[in-house]
Amino acid sequence: MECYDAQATISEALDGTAPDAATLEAAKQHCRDCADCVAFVRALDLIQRAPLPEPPADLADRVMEAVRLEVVAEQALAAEQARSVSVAAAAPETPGQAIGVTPEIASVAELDSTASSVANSRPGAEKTTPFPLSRGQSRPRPAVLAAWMGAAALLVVSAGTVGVMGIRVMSQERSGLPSQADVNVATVQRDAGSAVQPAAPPPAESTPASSGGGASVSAGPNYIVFKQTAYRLVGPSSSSKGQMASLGTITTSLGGGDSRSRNVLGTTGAPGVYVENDQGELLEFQPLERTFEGRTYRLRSADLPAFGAWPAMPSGITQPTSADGSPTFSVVSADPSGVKIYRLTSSTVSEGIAVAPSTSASDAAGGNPNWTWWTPAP
Amino acid sequence: MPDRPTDDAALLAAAREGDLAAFEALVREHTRTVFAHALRFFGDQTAAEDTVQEVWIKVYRSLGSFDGRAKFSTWLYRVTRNTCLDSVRAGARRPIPVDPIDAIAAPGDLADEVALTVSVEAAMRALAPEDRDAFSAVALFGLTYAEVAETLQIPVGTVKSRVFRARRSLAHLLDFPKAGV
Repeated sequence: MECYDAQATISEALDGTAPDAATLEAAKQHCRDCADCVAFVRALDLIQRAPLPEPPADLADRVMEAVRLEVVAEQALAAEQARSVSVAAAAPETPGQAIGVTPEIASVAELDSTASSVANSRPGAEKTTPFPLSRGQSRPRPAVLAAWMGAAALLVVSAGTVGVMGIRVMSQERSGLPSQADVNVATVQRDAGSAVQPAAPPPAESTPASSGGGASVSAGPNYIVFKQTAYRLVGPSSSSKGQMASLGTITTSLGGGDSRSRNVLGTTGAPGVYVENDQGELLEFQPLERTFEGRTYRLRSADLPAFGAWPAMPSGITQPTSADGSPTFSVVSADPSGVKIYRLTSSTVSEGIAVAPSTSASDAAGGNPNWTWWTPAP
Repeated sequence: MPDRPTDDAALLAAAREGDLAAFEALVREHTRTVFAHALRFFGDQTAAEDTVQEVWIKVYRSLGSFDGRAKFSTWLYRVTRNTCLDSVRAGARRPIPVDPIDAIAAPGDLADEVALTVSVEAAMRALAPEDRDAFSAVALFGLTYAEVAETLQIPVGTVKSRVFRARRSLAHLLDFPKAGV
């Protein structure tokens, strides 16, 4: 066997495509006896053993930071789309059309168009435009910009809709017709409030409170915060108010009614709370819980600016400045579902744990775009 | 330890369901490979880092369109290669020219791992682009000859030739008679 053939056979064998055993054995025999081929084989061994160049230690973190921005942009987009549908559905009913006030309808169409143009930022939509984010360099990417432009457009639409409603109310007052402005204004207030949130993904599931009784369709998550604990809407309850005690009050619109002070009810020893909506339904809310290292933690949050907003860090816990949680948090480990769990850098998990933004919808944090803070359940 | 799938297919499936932690596991597992390919292509650290980010963003955006018939590594190789080429075509980046003289390993360079990596990477950059491409697909991304052939739209025999030629060139650049001493 010639040197060239022997080396080619060895090369193929390295890639797992060795020819027949006899040819391989002949090549090996040649390489044992031929000085040049011995050197070639040793060189291949060196090349195989050479460690790959090491990327910067934080490169994967920067990649994930960019991906999380992508996720936030997607969620903002989804929320804007949901809201634009909600506004568009309400708009044709407004008498503004009858009295010639229609600019907001055109704006909604434009908003839908804008949203559609950004829709390919979601997984499944191939893009070819690269958006590099170098270390120390934070170039705004089109998807993010578009999402924020969508939010800005929504504010304009909302303001226009409020104006239309004002005209409508005046018109109705003049005509003596019953006003529906209360219901719709509540939607606009929530939309305007949540538009300034970092992102508001659509709800994981539709809830009776958001779909019945003439209430507005809720486009955001259905949380309330009572005594710094976040509760998520379960649905209408058949429990009797008479068996419950008043635990305090919260100010919320519940997504469909006026934003006003409402009684929070509960029963001794049960974690859930109950709040009555404008239709007289008693709605059940349960605290968000997650388990880590055998201990149950509950989601804590600052008061929400509006129903439909995501829980955020409670007062007293500093917002991290980096995607890796620093300097506020340090990673501890991951929970059984793989979600990274953080603790306060200056403390232990017995005080509380934190979870980074944008977990999956199945996680207890439910895709919250904010860092979340959890303390041991009582 | 988290009860998380570790093989690419399972992680990919979880990532497609919106599991960002699974996607992060893929990123951490394969970033070094993508980086090595980009560094060999451009010969520039910053360009390689930017390419890595672009690759992963593209992968993330395309999760839903990946049909799962090919291996994840095959897909990742294709995205990485195309990202490098697209970047050059668009005039965004340009590979740093290589002087073959610089690619010849200095005596003693192969003694320790760091120096070995430097020498091997310098030699990699001196390879003909088509040889390096095929060799990278096989040796870095773990593709079979058939997978490379399909990806590059060339015959399997051509893949074999390019990979072998790359190995011989590397051995020469690394001065294999000395390496064998």
